[in-house]
Amino acid sequence: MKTREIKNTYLLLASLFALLAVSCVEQFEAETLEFQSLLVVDARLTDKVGQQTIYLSRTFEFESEAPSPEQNAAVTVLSESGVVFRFEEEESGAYTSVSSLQLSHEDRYQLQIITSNGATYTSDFERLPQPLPIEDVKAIRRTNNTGLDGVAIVLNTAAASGQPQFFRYEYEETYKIIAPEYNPFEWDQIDYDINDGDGWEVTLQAREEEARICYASNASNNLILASSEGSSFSGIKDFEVRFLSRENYFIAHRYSILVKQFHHSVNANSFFKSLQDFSSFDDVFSNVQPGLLEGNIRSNSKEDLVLGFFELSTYTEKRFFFNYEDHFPGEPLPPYIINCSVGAPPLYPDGFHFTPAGDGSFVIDGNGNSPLIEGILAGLYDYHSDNPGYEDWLATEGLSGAAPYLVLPSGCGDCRRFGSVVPPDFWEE
Amino acid sequence: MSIHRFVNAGSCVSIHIITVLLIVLITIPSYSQEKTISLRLDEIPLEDALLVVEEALDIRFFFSSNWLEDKTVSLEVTDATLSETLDQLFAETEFNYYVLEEENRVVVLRNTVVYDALPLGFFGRMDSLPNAQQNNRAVNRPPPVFLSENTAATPKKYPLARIGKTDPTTSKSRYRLSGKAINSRTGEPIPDLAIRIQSTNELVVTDENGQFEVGLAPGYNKLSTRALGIADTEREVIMYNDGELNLILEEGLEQLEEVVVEADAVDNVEDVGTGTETIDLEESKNIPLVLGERDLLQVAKALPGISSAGEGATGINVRGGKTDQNLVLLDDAVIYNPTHFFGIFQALNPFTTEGADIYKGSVPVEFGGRLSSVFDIRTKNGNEKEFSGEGSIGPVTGNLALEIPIKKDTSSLVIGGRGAYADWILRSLDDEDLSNSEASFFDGIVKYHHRFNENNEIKGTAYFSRDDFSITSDSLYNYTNRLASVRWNHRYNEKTSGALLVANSDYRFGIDFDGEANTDFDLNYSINETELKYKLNTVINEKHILDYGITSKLYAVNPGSIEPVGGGSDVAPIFIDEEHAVEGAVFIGDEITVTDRLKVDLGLRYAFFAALGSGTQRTYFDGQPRNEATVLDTISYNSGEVIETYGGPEVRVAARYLLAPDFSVKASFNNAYQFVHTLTNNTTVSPIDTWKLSDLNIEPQTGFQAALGFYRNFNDDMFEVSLEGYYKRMDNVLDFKTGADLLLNENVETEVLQGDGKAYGVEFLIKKNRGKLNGWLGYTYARSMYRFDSEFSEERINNGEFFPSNFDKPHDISVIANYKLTKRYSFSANFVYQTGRPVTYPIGTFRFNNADFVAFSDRNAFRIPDFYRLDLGVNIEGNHKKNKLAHSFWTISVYNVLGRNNPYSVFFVTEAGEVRALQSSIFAIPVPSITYNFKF
Repeated sequence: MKTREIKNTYLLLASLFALLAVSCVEQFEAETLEFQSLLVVDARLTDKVGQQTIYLSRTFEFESEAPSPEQNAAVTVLSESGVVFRFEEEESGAYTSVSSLQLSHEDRYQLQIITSNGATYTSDFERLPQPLPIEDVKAIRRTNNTGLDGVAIVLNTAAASGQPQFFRYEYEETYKIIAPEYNPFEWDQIDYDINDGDGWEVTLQAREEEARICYASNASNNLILASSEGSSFSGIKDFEVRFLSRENYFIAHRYSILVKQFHHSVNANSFFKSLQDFSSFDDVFSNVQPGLLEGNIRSNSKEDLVLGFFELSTYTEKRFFFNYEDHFPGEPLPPYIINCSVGAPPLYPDGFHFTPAGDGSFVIDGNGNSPLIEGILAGLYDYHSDNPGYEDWLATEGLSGAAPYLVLPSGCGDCRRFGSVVPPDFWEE
Repeated sequence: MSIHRFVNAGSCVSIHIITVLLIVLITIPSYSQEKTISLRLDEIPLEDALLVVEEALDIRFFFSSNWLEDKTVSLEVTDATLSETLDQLFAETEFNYYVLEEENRVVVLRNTVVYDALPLGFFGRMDSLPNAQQNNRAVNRPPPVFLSENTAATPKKYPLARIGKTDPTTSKSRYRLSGKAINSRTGEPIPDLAIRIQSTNELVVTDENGQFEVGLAPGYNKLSTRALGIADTEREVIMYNDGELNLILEEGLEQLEEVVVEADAVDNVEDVGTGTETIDLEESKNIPLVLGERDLLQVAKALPGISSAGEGATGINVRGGKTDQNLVLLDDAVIYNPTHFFGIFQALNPFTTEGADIYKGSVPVEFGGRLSSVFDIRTKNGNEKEFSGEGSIGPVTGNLALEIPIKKDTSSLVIGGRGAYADWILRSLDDEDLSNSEASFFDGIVKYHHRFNENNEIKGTAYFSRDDFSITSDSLYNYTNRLASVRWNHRYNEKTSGALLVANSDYRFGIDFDGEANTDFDLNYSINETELKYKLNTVINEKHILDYGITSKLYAVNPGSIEPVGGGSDVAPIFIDEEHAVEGAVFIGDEITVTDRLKVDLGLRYAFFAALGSGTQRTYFDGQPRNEATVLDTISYNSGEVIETYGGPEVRVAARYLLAPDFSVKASFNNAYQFVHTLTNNTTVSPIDTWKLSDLNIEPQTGFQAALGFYRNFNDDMFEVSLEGYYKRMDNVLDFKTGADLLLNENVETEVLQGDGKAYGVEFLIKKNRGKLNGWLGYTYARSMYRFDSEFSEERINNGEFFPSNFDKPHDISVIANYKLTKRYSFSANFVYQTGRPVTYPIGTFRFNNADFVAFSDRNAFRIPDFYRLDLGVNIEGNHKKNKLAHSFWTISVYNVLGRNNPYSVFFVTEAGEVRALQSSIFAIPVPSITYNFKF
């Protein structure tokens, strides 16, 4: 009910003022006014058996690209029953459990961090929720709340008992790409030496690798939260994890999504809900009051602030496949990832002219780069076909402006620009 | 400048004289022997009569011939001396005379007499015994009237009226002025014309035949008149004796633009209360406003001390108070949300609204229940004589108001309606996205007014407003205000009058969610209150006027309910228990005139509140933060059982001391209790904020304010200047924990924080009330800070230190100017400058789960850039042909002429794992509009 997009704000205002788009939302370059360095704890442990990792970093300024990892900290997880798990820094800022973790649903756990400067951070004791597996994941064709036609990926869980249940979801989607203008030939040799006697030349060869069908993946990076709170059903029913517009090429042929469910506590959920509220935009008129997000990790001193939540979750996942034809039978495909329009970049540029240098070599006058060769070298072009007008052009206009081949933007004739030709292990046709 | 005319026999050259003058004092040659004459004159012009006498007695008269104008006299004397003759000649006129015997000259005096001796003690204390005769004279003669040239020279629509003739033998403290008020166009008497004596604030009303009678102090008096459909006037009157004055008044269509906000010029200085403003909506019609909507609340925001967080912020903040601390009354009933569409439009019909009194400092003792201010908005009484109407067509709304006489001179009906029609424009567009969205609103009002006799009248008002808007295509928001009030005004006797009123108000909002999934629901909230109030006003004597009464309110709040819609919805229904409470007060106030200069208002009000069952309340362990884990007990209450009571005395004290007749100093102190609160987790107000009654865990807000001000009027009240400072403290104001969920929360006390606030400021206002150029300039320096401290970090904000509120804008300058070029064209401008409001700005970015987010720490530590905006408008009146069906005018205005992109908020949105900093503004470009107004 709160998922709204910026675009709608424009609609709302435009509607009121009958197209006088008077309100505006514009992006600006944020600068850091008063930077504070906080410890950021990304500590999500699940009931999955195996080594698990906790990430420590520090807040960074708008002007920097990436966070600086928090190094040389001592990270441990203690159980109420007295078990201690040690975590060692394997990569900078990434602390991996020394042994394989096997957390119990019956026990409670606490995270302890001592940073290299001696500051100590401790979490509340947390418990793993009881497992509640994903029952099914399915795709439904429908119109979403902003009026887009497409496919919603929805999931259901079994019913839980009693209290409301809280979840956070992530997904990994994999989709099939078919190059729309696949050509069995690709560029072979490029002769970009004007002095070798035969001028510039680009040759073709039969493809060494099939490049018509590729597979690409994409992982979620937004917060997807759900709960059974306020619902008469104590599990999750028809929850939309992902919506793909019918204009989205991801669903053009065959699409697969792995939905990962992290079943966590009410407090974890409200922490992430606040984070979501603070980092989303409802409309120009309302603005949720942000503030310092307090999770379940506390510093021993008032000065050292910490951001993050020691999140214990019960993990389940489910994979689901569907074809475009299943939901859009007989309908045109979504547009390809890029626009595949044919071009004819000349081998020799317009006004190409060279003069003998006296020693048998030639000097090109002015700016005389080859548009075709430059484009191929930059990876811009896929071969489409020979240019039927090439010979006539040579006969009437000469070298300058002569284009031997018709080309397509890279990716149209060769899908490898967007994915890998090797299907992933889980892929099923 | 004084002009005299030298009258010679045979020379009757008339000289045109434009202005009136001071007393004529001339010295003249001598006159020795007493002569007598016999004369008989019949209905001849006075001037001719004087010439006859002049010749007969060989004297010379000095007078201004335009005093005499068309006056005629009859005279019959035999062997009369000069004074006998003149006594008879001037008997029926306002003239006196003074004989300079040695010089054979007679000075004719209009109204006045010549004082040939100075008052006793004029030169200080006399050493010798006073001359008995002199003394007598000084006592017997009425005090002289001096009229400063300055006053007389002020251009006025009406000339100075001189009433009666000074009678040297009588000296009364009051003279009687009687007369009739007549409509200049129709010649009909004007009943119900309010005539106010500005110096004493006394009010008389003309009767059905337009007759009036009023007692006035000798000398200069200023009367202001006001009646529906009649242009307001001011008449300057000099009282020399009892007399008559007929007020021939024009209908009130054309001369309304002059005074915009008229906290009645003299009132400003003489009223006892601090921080009081009066807005006359009709007169503020020229102020250029967004999309051509005349808007009382926007005008109010141009006054010092009244502001909002920004354009598009629904609530109003008065003197650093929160938005829930204003009592907004429409015809005595509370209107919870007086705005449409996020505060951009007011929900009050500008054509039926007469105006508002705004109390931001000392609040009259009859009002209570809010800490910061009272907006007492009044609807017009309908025209009892003839059917009339007013309307406008603007780019967004259409507006119509009708005044319908039911029984001539007795009762009338006002009906007003307005609505936004942007919606259908929208729907007719081809763009699918646009035609899916919705934003519409309307409001309607009906007021009935019935006067039974001069001692009894009844007024009844019913009002309804509704907003619908959708932000996404699957959710439809709506909110409505509904109110009704009946008021009976009754005069028991000369000294006591009273009013009995009943009012009911209802505010509710709802969200209808109709999505694709199984989550369809219908969410509702409502608050309803019924008030009964009886108040009396008794004039005990010249020194004491009492205001006293009793009031009681009953609240019923549905804090929220959600129900599934349709068979497929899995939404679990939630019905949070209704909250009930009773609020009451007894009050008494005494307006004490201590001396002519010192006036004191003493008021005491005892406020009482009881939260009532049925319902359940939790108790929490002492010394622990309130949350699910610290619940001690849950108590159930039966219907009507008292859950908790609160209350206490409220003091309302104000004093005014006149340093000079047009210069006063005032001070006030008042405290208040507030038992209802809004819950919001927005930085500004949103229409889905809920009102919460105080209960076991949420205590009432309390506060006090002390104010001191200086008020000065210049140039015959043309300019008003005031400087007012205030200091304010508030306790138990509400805020909320970071990320709180307030809607549909059964235990909202676990999310709410109660803290204290302080606000202080200095407000400077200069107004020009008349003339071609009029308007005002206000400057405010004000701060508003809040503090939420606790021993638990989750219940602290900003470490328990004071932090600036969302609407803390220290510098605020407002200029409103109207320039009337001709009768038909007038221009207006509105300029605002404000310090940018505080916002919570990130202290850095962090990466979490492969996405970047911003981190916040202290609330409101930074400010968005300063706000400024200029609006310009032109008003073009239609022609004034008498028989035209409708009188009309066009308003063309451009809002935000400078196109200043004033930031309203900043947002930091995480999209595709990256942080985008966004800045929103509501009106970023100039917004032109044309509105057509008509009146018939």
